[in-house]
Amino acid sequence: MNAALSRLVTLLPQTLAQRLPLLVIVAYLAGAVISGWSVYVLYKRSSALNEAETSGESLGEIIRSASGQPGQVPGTGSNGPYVFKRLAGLPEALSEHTIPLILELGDERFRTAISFAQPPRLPQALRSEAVSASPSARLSELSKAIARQDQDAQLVIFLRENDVLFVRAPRLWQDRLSQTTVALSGAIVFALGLSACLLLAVNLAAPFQHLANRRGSSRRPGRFASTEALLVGDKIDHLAEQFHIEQDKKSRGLAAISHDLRTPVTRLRLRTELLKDAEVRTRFEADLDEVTGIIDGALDLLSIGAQAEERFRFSLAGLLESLVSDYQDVGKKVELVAPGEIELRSASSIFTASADVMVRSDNQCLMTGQPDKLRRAFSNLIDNALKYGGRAVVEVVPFTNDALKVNVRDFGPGIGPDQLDRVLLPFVRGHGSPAGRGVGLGLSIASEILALHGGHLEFTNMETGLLVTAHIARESGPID
Amino acid sequence: MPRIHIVEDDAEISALLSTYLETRGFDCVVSGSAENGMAKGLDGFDLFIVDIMLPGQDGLYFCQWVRKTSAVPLIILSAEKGDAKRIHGIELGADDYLEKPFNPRELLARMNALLRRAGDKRGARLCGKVGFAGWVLDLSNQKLHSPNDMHVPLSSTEYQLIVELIGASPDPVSREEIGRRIFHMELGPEDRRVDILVSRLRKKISGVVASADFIKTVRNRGYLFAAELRKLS
Repeated sequence: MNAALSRLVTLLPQTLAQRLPLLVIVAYLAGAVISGWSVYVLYKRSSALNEAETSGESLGEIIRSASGQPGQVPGTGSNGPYVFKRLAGLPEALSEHTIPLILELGDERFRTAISFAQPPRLPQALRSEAVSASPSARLSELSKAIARQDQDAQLVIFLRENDVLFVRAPRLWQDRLSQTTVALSGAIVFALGLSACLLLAVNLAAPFQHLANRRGSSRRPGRFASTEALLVGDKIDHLAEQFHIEQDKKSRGLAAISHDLRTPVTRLRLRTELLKDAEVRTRFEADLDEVTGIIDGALDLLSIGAQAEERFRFSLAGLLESLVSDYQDVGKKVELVAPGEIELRSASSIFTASADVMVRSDNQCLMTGQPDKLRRAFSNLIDNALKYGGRAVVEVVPFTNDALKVNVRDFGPGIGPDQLDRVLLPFVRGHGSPAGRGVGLGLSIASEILALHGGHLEFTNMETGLLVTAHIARESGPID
Repeated sequence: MPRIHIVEDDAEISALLSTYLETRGFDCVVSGSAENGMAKGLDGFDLFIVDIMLPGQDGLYFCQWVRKTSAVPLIILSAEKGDAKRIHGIELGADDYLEKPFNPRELLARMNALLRRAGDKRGARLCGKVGFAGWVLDLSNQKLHSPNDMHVPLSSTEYQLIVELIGASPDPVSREEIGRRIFHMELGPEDRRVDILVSRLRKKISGVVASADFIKTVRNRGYLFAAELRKLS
């Protein structure tokens, strides 16, 4: 079965340029066949009805001649579309689906029966509505009414002296599809064809959808994919590879520069330490600190994703507490607002002593991640707040079941609204004060680290100062 | 006068470093490669400063060579960024690790700390992983893990405190000693910062396992880490 399917697939044209016209042609042919068939069937029916309606005269002649010559049995013949047979008496019982009626032709009245193989659809159409119609008009009406039953029928007329006249009209009174059946089946086949076309169209689009949706890994589009889809996929792969090579080249260049700067800067550090003049030495040191900061920052930013670190489960609140303690230990103005702890005390009864029942809300903010990297991210945010605001308030918030939020607020000048979305770009300083020292690598690194933890940074200007909100996913997938 | 052996291939850095250290009262010997350094032997040196990137055998090899026969303090210098090399160096027996460009005064502080500790003659240097009651103190990665396999973040002074207490166990460590080692100062009788630090660490530990109470106060003698310690591979 599978083998047959794949053979069928190889028979399909491979390129989109061939598949699209094929689809159009198939759809057109299917539409033409369906509508042609319906029109043909409906036309045949309506022309049969027309003929029946105009052949009342012929039927009248048959009846007249048969009733006018009693005793001449048997006798057969045809007139117009009708074939008749005259027998003496009924050879056999009529079918059970027989409609009896009295046929009034001018002055004469005939006992008549119309016998069908199946129950007729429109029996009431057989009775006459017009009271004073001429005989041929009445017969036309009757013939058309029988034709409208869409099945094989015979008209049985009981003549005088037990003679019976059987009339058939093989072309008019025949089995055929009714109008409703034709319309319904046409519509159903049309809908089926349309959905098949839709399926094919979706199948044509699917590989492109797949290419648009895929992330990172270069999985091939399915085996039904057209040549064009495969080519686009190859091109995307090639571009991505090229991009990575370029990116890698640039990173390595920058890393090499930063790395090579380390030796001269180490010498400068030592030379500075040997300077006699204390004031000059302090200034040199400040400059060297800045240079070191730039080198470290650049290397950090380039390699942060690649630096291996084991993932642990830990409390983010605990991590921030220890980080804030480090700042407080060296006299920096950093405060921590921990999430509240709910304490419930169980009531003591005569049987049990009052036990402390601690109901812990999620104040630990447990998560899985790389603690050293996160520590660095938050210390960058705090450093930034201290640099521009003099003091920092850190707050950790259990945000949702999947995410945590850390607010780091300073009380400095904030950043210009036009700068808000630029602060994350490396080497951009948001606060716009020319006096501000250091480069804007800290925030870029923090943002990079949070991205590794399925999160991001958000900046809001408060009434006084800037609020940096770090969003972190509690469980971010392993980093590849 | 302590004798320092500097193994560093950049002649200018080693010259500047030895000049700087000599002004601070050290006696320095310089080698340009690990092979030269090994030729000078171990005798008479109080501390080694070794660059990782050396022509020929690298600094880590030299570090292993020293550790085979001696427990002399050893500081690794490296131009490499990242923790991988640091952890590797510490596991091979280095006592400390500094990234270039380092602040010379920080190097001096760490040298003094190592020399003072070596002078204590107080048992083997802690390294690797130490386990107690299901907890793990990972000295290479400077991390504490609780029995339910969670990482317990500690501030740097809290970490230093637990290392000091575990290093001294089963003996207690006095408040003055902790003040000297962690805050690098002589504590006055009214100075409460060691007690505050100890209670902070206790709270961290009992925050994870409510019944955990490893740090005991010993009247007039200081603080004692009371737990069965196990060296983990």
